[in-house]
Amino acid sequence: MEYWADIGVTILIFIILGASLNLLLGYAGQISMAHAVFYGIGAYTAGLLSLPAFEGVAAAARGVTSGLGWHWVPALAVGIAVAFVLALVVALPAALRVRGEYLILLTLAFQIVANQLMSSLDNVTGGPYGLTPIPPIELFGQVLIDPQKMFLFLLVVTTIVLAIAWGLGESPYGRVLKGIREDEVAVAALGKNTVAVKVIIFGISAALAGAAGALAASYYQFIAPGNYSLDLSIFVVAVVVLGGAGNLTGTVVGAIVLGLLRPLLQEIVGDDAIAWQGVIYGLALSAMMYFRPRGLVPEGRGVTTLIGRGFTYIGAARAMALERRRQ
Amino acid sequence: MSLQLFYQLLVSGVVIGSTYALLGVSFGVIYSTTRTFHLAHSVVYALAAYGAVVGVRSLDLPLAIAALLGLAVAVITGLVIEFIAYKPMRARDATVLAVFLVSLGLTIAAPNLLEIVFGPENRALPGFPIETIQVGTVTFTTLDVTSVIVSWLAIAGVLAFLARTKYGRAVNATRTNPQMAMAVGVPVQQVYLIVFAIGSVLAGIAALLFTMGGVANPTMGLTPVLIGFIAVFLGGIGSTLGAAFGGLALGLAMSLSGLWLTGDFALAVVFGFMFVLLIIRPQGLLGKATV
Repeated sequence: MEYWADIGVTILIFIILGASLNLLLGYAGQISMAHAVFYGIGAYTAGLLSLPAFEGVAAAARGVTSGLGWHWVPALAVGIAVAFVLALVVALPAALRVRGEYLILLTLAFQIVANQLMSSLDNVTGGPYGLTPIPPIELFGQVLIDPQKMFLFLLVVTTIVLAIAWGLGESPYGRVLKGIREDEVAVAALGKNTVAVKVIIFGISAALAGAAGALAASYYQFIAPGNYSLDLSIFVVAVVVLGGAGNLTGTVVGAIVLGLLRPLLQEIVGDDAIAWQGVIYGLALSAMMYFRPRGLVPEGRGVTTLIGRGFTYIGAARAMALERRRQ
Repeated sequence: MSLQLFYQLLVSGVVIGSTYALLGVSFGVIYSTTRTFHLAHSVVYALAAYGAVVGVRSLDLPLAIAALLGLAVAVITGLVIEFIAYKPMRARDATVLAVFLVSLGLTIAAPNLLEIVFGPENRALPGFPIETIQVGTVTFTTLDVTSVIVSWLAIAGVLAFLARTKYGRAVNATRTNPQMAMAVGVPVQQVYLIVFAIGSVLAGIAALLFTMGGVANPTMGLTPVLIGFIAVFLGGIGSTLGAAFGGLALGLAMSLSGLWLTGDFALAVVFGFMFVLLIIRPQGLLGKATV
């Protein structure tokens, strides 16, 4: 049970990462190769703030980085804010240009530089060995180290994140995002400030990833550069694309399928599980773009869109009723 | 800062920079002609090295023959990727992003497959007579000299091919204006195959030179390909010579940054440099402004 709850926690984190990236990749058609870094920035920021404050000499003696000993809530909030602001800085230069290659390159460069700095700036980040022990989350007197408790907590968080993503994606703002995906110049011609829209959605996407990072860090109680590598960025892209870009149901499906892949492979091939996982999701990503570019659950087929459509019908019916009454 | 250290770093900068120049031309000839963000070039690079390693270690071939085997593997891999992955995507007018995602999938799958087949450990490619040469206080090896000469000869070969042959002109025409090229009867699909073949051979050469002095491992391909792209970017997309000098400049910058920074930061310097460059001068250092 513990084992499955732990896998469940991983999958929920993948869902949060996937849903946040989907806003960018699926809805706005903008790629980020640095999603793992923003996840990491949330983790490092919140982790450094909430680590216990050791006195200078004591910290040096113990060989650990000293934190500020904050409560997890403000630490989480600052982690989200830092991810958001850094994302705005990264996205702005690319947003000023229409061609997609710039964003690929910029985010790729940012992923590699930032990930390298996480291990090189060792007097702040703890270097390759990372930071530990990040204090666990305490809520209503419960300490969330136990996988089952963390699972329930993250289930609530994931629901909130999905609601935010759905609210943004299916709102008028979401329609502007989709417009940018289809034809940016046309949207700009309609008077929409596409640069601002692109930068802000990048920020929101990164902020949600940062939140996931902060929460995950306090569950694992451990932060190290290897957890925020390019591999994870690509993995999240695969979750979104396999599930179906522009569709949150698809992201949930993608995260569950890819999240179960690793434990499943562990049973079959043992130590080679990580490598096989890479082969499978890599080839699946290529094959999916090739044979079924809209993903497992194509846009407009998911649960959320059905609910959305329901609201649209209700809205239309109300409008018709109002119209009739007026006549 | 001692002058001796400066000379030493300058020489190693030229040595690294020459292979970077090769990588720049290799990636650039493909990217500027087909506009495919060929991240899977990393697969070509790694497979070339592994081809040669298998040739020497398992098939007991002499190094020269094994190197040719590696290059053959590179060309075949490059052509297969173009033929199976990119060509059909292009045929259905897929977006830059969609083609990139296909390439990304291959980039992830291949190193993991290599790890499963050959194991995660480093593999050397023995056989090259490496000797140290000392001039004044500066030392370098016979392999360094070879790699500088081979790199620039290969680049010169590509430049001559592009400038002087019928197919080279077809490549230039397609690069400048694919529609027009097609209209005047240039077989654009063939041109694409040609540039993928050329780019793959060059990547293969770079991989072999690297592996003879170092080691092959499953994830070896990604960094060189990104460096190749930065070189292209520095030189301005579309200019072959620009990509070569971009690579040389990058190698020098990386090596000379050792005067102030530890080796840990060298890669961060390169990518940080590109990051700033993308922000302030997205058309490349020598490129002309377009969009």
